[in-house]
Amino acid sequence: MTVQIYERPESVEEATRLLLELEGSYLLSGGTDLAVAMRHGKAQPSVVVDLKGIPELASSITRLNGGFRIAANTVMTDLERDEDVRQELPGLVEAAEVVGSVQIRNRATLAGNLCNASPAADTPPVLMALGASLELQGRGGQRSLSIDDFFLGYRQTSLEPGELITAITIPGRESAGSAFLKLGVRRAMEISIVCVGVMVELDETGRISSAGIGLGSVAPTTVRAKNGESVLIGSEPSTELFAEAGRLAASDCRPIDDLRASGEYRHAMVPVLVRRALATAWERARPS
Amino acid sequence: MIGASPRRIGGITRVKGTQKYVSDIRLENVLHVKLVTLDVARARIDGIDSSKALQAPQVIDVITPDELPHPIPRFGPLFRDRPVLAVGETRYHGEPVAAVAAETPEAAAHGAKLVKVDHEPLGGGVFSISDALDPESPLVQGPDLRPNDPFANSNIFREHRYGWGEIDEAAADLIVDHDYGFPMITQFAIEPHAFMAAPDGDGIEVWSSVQHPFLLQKTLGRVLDLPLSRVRVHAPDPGGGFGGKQNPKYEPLVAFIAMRTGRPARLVLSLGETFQTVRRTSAEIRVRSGFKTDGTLVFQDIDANFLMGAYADIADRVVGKSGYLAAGPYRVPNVQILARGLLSHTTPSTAMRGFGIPQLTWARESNLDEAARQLDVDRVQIRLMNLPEKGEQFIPDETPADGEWRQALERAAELIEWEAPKPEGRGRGFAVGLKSGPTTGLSYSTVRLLADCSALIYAGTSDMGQGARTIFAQLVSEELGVDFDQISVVMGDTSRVPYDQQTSASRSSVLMGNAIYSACEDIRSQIRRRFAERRGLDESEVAVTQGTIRWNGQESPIRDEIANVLGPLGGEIIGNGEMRVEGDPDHPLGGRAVFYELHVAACDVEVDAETGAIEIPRYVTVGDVGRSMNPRQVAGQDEGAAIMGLGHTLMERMILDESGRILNMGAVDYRILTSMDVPTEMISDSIENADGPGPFGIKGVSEGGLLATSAAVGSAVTDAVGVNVRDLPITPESIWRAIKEQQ
Amino acid sequence: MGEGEAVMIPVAMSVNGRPVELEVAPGSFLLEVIRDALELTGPKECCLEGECGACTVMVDGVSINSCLVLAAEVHGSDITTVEGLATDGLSALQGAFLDHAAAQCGYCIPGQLVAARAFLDVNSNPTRAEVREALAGNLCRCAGYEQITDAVLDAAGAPS
Repeated sequence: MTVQIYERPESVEEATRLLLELEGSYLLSGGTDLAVAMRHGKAQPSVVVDLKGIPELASSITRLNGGFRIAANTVMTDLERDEDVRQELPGLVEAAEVVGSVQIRNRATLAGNLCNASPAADTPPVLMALGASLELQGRGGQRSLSIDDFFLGYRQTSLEPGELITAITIPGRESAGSAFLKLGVRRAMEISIVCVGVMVELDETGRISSAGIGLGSVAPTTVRAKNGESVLIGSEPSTELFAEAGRLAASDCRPIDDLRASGEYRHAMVPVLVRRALATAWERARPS
Repeated sequence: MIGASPRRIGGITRVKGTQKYVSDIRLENVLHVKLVTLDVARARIDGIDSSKALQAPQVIDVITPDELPHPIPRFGPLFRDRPVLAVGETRYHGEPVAAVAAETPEAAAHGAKLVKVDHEPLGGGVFSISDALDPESPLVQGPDLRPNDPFANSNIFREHRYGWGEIDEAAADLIVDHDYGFPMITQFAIEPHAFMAAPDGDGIEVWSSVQHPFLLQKTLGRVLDLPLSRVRVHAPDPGGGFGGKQNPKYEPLVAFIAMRTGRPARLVLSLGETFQTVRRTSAEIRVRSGFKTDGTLVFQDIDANFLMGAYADIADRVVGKSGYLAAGPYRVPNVQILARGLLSHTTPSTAMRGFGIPQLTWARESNLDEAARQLDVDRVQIRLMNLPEKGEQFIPDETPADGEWRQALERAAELIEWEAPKPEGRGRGFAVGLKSGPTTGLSYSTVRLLADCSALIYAGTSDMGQGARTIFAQLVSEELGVDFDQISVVMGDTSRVPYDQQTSASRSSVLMGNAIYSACEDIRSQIRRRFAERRGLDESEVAVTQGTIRWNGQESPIRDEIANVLGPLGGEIIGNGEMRVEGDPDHPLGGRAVFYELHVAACDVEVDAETGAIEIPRYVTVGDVGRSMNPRQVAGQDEGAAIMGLGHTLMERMILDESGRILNMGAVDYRILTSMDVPTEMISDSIENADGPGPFGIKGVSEGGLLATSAAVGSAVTDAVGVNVRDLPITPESIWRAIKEQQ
Repeated sequence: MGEGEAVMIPVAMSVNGRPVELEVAPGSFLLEVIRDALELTGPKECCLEGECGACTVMVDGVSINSCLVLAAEVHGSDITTVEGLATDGLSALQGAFLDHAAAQCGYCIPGQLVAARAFLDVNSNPTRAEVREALAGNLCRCAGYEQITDAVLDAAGAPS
């Protein structure tokens, strides 16, 4: 099947209409996943709806309630270069920096990384740890959805037909730090064996007031390690505590064997990466 | 010019993007070819229905075995066992059963999907060494293909046995006995193989990214029943070869399509399809070595099994030639070697940089390392103490040690700072590899010294990145006094360039170099004769050395005398050269090594003991090169080879499923090193004693850099975390597992 | 195939400074359009999945894998391929590649050069580590990574 129609709508409404009306239509944002799927015959769109002509989705990173609002078409390179994001969301930058190559990061959008819903994707674990919300718009208008409710299964999301992500919002926090770690065989261009995104927020006494742990490549979807998080909240940060959170996080996932690694190895790596990432995030959260 | 590093000839087109590789060449009215393959390795073909494909728009032809001569022509560099299309059954994942020719690549791909191949997957395929050794396994090749072969009723292709002395366990104070594994890997040239063919009057023209155009010409002549003079092979510079492009692959098929349709035909493989076309032999090697307590080697008993694949290609030579050197560059009084090639339902393996030696070096050097640790002998010392001196015959009746090898080991130890203290978590490794260069060879060259004292060199070598053109031009510049940038080198066309046996085994600088050198001598003797004639001198009064004419106490550059030498009609001086290494039919390899490539690898690694992740802060590579004709190119070859070697050491392997399908057929899940995976610091150096057989005492380079890579890294990993990983690649998970098992 | 039914897309772009207008199939990728329709064969085909970088070109000054971009997407853009890196002669970067023997077989080099050019345009004084990171998406099996890195540093005017 070859593509019959290329559409470049100028509004979200128009995009939604096209997606609903035209059979076999696929969203095209950065295209770095869709094009590969097309090349391999795994996606056979008859219609491609390119979102890059929609002004309200265009790359932009703005402040919102002390946090951030990142428009859907913001690419990884934009995140890497934004000074405020670098300062306040280092974990997100660390994840964005290891998505493919420079060429991929110049094209791949944050929203696309979510919509592709690969369990090995780099940015979702840290977005999950940061408590991100997604602004969605579709047939029924606009809604906001916690990222926790976005991934339904392997490459499945809760997007309704015709619905798309218009922006990702990240809540503002005082005294918070984030970190991302990825384990692979190669140091670049790598699909994770395991990746981990974490966030810790400290209260005035230095105790952990909230925490997030997102895990990649350990389940059919990016998962939130609730057990790992729960032990952190209200506790005094320490190496032992982070190790305990790591051990509990491992109980939040049941990784499988695949070409890249065995499930057993993945499972064993979760505590190590979570512990290390938490230690880094904590360092970043502490008032300097 | 010798020892200089001028800009590469052919460099400008490479950096301007105008270099034409095969797939960049446009032929008018060309048909695009797509192979029809099955999604299983081993299947019986019950019938092929191409009618639907033939009705598809823009499909011009479908070729199945029925459209080929019968019996189906077979070919191969040593054994003619590879059919143009699968006969009766497929023997590996991706073996073509038919091919579709269409007006566009898309139409060909679509047509290929419409060819209905009625087939029955046959279970029980032979995908591993243990499968191949199991007498219950099905035969990969029918006995009819192997008449008078004692192994015809097994999957053993051939056994090569070498040795000397007697193995006497009692004479050893320590015996170290382990198995070592080397994975199935692929050459992964960034240019996927590309083939084109076009009818040319009553002959054929073929374009191929091939390393051995003359072997291809001969193959096509035989398969198509054409005289060599009617087969013209264009071999544009390959975009990387690494051995994978040595031997004919799909050229005969594409040529048949061109001849049937009367139109040019073009087949460009996808990267994934190259995985189904070429790979290196995987291996499992048992090394049993005996030592005295001081580290002196008493015996080596090496049993090496190589998984060759479905057709022999050049793999039997890989097995036999590397097996012969399995004991390495050491003085070992008693040696027993069995190198066995095994057929399997996998991609036919072929030559790849190092030609079997990286596999054996990994096993032998790792074993030597384990012995050094157990004996508490320094790992560099154990190698030095067993190393032969220059001129010492370390293999009976074979070329003696041809270099001051000790110097290479000492230089590498010095560069890696072998004795320096290391921080916690860091390990240091050291290993030595030895490969023999060519054992036979035949290269012709023509050099034309033109009237303005510029020059043309004709050589059948393939310049696939090693920079052969540049070396040849440096040579002619030196020998005839021609400005380097006034030299052009013509290659890659069997109708324009005289015969050359092949571009392999790091031979070209030595063998073609010598042919060019003798062409230059031919030119000098003509200059001498004509100069004497014109000046009324006796020839004995004239000498021509390098670029200078000397007579009666006077001298003048050839450049200034050329017009005079040529006389009023001008013209040019044509020199012909030949380099012939006949070999020795009684030698187990058909000839003695023309030279050796001895190479030392040393490195530091840092291992994260919790995750098994490895970093390489420093890597040293030192080769015994005779003379470094072009130091920049030598460094490029040595460092490039080392980095390639780090691929199979750390990450590369082809993964098969239970039906023999390759699961990681492409760049996502088959990883090669990126620029970020390169050791933080790379140091390369050469030992230069001008003791090689090539011009100016050079030896071949190009393969040495990856021979010992794996063993050096393995040695360093053990040094860092105290565990031995005996199967490549050494991944984070394999280190983690080894640590866990030890605890 | 159903190719006849596809609605062709007019694309106007500037390629190496030259205005180009053509009609492309909606599913045509930029790489194939550049190589086949525009006959610029500098950008190379290898993995066709964004892993090797051999097809790298610049779109509006930014390096991308042309194998993963539809030609229709770049309507109105400025495209630079390796052929556009120097109008005549060689650029300093190309010269540095030659001086450091960074081009071996040469097949990955067009992509390396374009990626390096785009990188130097935003980071004119890089470290060795930054160069390696910037070119991590350009595989080289000759593994001339050290020579390529040296060349890029040299062209940037930094000590190599």
